[in-house]
Amino acid sequence: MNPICKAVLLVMCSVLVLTISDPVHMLVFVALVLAAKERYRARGVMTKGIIVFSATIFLAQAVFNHSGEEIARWFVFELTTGGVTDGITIAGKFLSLIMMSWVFVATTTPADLSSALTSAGFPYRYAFLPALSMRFVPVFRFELAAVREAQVTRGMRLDMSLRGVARSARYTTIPMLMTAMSKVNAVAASMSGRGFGMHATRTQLKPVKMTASDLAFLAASGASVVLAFFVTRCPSLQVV
Amino acid sequence: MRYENRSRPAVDGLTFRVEPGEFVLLMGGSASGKSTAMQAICGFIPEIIHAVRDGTVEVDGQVFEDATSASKVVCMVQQDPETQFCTETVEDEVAFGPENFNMPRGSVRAAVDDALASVGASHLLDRRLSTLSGGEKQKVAIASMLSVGPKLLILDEPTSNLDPRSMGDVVTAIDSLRRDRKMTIVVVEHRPGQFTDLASRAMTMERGRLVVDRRRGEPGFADALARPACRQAVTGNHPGATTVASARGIRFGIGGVTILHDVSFDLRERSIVALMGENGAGKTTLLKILTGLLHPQSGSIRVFGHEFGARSRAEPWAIGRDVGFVFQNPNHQIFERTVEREVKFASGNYGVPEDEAMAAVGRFEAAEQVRRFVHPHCLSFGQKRRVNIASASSHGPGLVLMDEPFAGQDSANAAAICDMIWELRASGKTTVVVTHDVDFARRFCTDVLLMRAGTVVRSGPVADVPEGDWDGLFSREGT
Repeated sequence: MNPICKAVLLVMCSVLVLTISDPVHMLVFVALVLAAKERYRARGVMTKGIIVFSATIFLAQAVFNHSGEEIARWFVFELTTGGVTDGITIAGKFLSLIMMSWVFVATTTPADLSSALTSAGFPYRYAFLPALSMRFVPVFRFELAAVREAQVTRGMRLDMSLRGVARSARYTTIPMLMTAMSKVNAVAASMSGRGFGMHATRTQLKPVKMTASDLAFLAASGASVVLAFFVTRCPSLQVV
Repeated sequence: MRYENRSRPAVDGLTFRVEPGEFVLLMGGSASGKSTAMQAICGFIPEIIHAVRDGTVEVDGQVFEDATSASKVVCMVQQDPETQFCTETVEDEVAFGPENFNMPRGSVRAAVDDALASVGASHLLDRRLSTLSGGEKQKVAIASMLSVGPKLLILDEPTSNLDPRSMGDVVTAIDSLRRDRKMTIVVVEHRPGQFTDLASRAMTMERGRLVVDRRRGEPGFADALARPACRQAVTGNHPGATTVASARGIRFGIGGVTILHDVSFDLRERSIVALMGENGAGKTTLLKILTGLLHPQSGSIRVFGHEFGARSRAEPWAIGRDVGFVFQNPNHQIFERTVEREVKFASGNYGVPEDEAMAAVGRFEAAEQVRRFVHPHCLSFGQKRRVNIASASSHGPGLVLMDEPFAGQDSANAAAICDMIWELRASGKTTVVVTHDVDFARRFCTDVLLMRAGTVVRSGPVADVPEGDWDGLFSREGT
C-alpha cells in the first residue's frame, strides 16, 4: 500500500482513538490494533517499559480518580467506576497510539515513504528527511549502547534513581553530541558530494505512485473510520 | 586552510597538479593536513566543514563553488563508509548520485550495474547495507561514488579497520579501476601498505605542507614508499606462568545466529595477546563477554576472582575493577571536561586513593606533554586514543582489553600506544589487543589468539607460530 495512504489512515485512526470514551469500545479498538500488529509482525513494540507505563496509567486512574460509584474499598484505597473507566480509556489510547505508529513504521520502508512523498509533489529535499532520520535511528541506538558500555566498564553503575539518571545523562550527552556532529558532517558531505540538491527535481529509480487501488482502500478505510466515529458517539451504542 | 579557533593552518602553501590517469598515494601522519586538502578539493571545505581557505582549487579545468557542483567531476569516499550511507539498501545507495543528477531511469539502472560490477560487488545489489561486512561496505561506498561517473576519485583511508582478506578485496577493486577504467585516483593513507605496487606517484605531507612528491621512476620514489618498521618489543618478552583469565566452552548467539561457539582459552599473566581474525569473526563479542557486557548461552569464564557464565551473571561494573576496556571509537569514551578528570574517571568510581589517581594523571601529562586542565576533545586523534587507554587503566586493572587501538593511527601514534602497552606489561598487567596488523602481532606480542567464524583456531605463544604461517593466518585453509 502507498505509504501516504497508511499515514493518512494512521492520522484518522489516531483522531478516532482520542475521541473514544467508552471503555468497551476502547478494549475492542485495542484488540483490533493488537491483531493488526500481529498480522504485520510488528513485534518488539510491546516492550516492558510500555506495558509498565500503560499499567501505571491505569492504576493511577483507578486509585486516585474517585468519580462514579464505588466498586470496592481496601484500607484508604477506593475503586470507583469512573476511575476504572478512565483508566481503561487513557491507557488504551496510549497503547493504541504506540502500536499503530509501530505498525506504520514496521510496514513502511523509509525509501518508500520518501519516494511516495516526492511522487505526491513534495520537494524531494524535504521528502528525503524522514528517510534519513529513520536511517540513523539504529545508528544512534548503537552509539548510545556503546557509550553506556564504556561508562559501565569504568565503574559507573547505571541505577534508575533520579541522581543516577542525571549522572548518566551528564556523561552521555557530550559523547553523543560529538558523535552526532561528526555523523551529520559526514552524511552532509556524502550527499552534497553526490549532487543532492543540484536540480529542482530528482529521478526516482523505484517510484511509489498512488494507484487506483490505493485510493479505493483509502476511501474505504476513511469511511470505516467515520462510521466507527459515529458508532462510538452514538448514545444508544454506549456500553458503559 | 585554517580551521576556526585554530592558530596554525591545517594546510599551508600546498601546490600540486595531478595528471589524468595518475594513481597518487598521499601519505602523512595524523593532522598532517592530507584529509583537509582532499576535502577542499571536493568542495566540502568551506561549504560543509567550516574553515578559512585561501588559494584556488581547479578540477578538470574548472573552479567549483560548492561540493554539489564539484560532484560532477570529483568524488570522495570518506574514512568510515557506515557514516556516509544515506539509504538502507545497496541499490538505493549506489543509485543515489545518478538520481540526483536527474539521469533517465534506464541510465540510473545502467550506472548502478556498471559501478557495482567495477568493484566486483554485483551480487550485493539486493542486500541491505546493515547486513554487509566491512569490506563489502567499503566496496559499496566506492561504487556509490563511481555511479556518478567522476573523473577524479579520492579514497580516504579505504582499508582502515579491515582485516587483511577484506583489505585485499578492496585493493583489488581499486586496482581494477586504475587498470581497466584508467581513472585518476588519490588514496590517502598513513602508510603505503598494499598500495605500494599500485601508486604511480607518492606524496607526503607534514604539518600542512607537502614535503615529498615523487613519481614512479624518479629518484627517491622507493624511499617515499618505504614502510616504517613496526616497533619491536624488547627482549626477555616472556609472560608469567599464572593464568589470569580463562574461558571454557563459550557459546553466544543473537536471534538464532551463532556468533561464538565452543570458545576456550587461557590468558597468562604479563602477556600481550594479539586477538586476530576476520571482520565478524567474533572478536569484539568475545571481549564484551570477558567484561560481562554480554552473557554467554553456555560455558564459563574466570577472570581474577570473578567467575561467571551461562549460569551465573556478573555485573560489568564489578568486573571493570579488574578488567579495563578500551573501545574502538575514542569519542564514545570521553566523558569529562578535563584530561585530569577523564584519566581519573574510573579511579573515582572504584575508590582508588587520590594520590594513586593523580600519579596516573602525572604520568600521562609527562608522556603526552599536555596540560591536565585541557579539554580531552581538544586533543589530537592519537592523544584521545591514549587518554582512553590511560582512563581505562588508571585504577590498576590486571587485564586491559583494547579493541583495535591502532585503527586510524599513524606510525608515531601507533608507537606511542605500543609504549603504553609495554608499560602496562612492565607493571605486571596482561593486555589483549584486537588487531589486524600481522607485523605488530609477530614482533610485539607474546601470544596470539586467532578466531575464525566464531571459534578459536589458534591459541598460544607467538614463538610457536612458524614464520611461514603468518601470511596464511587469514586464509581459509591456514590455521
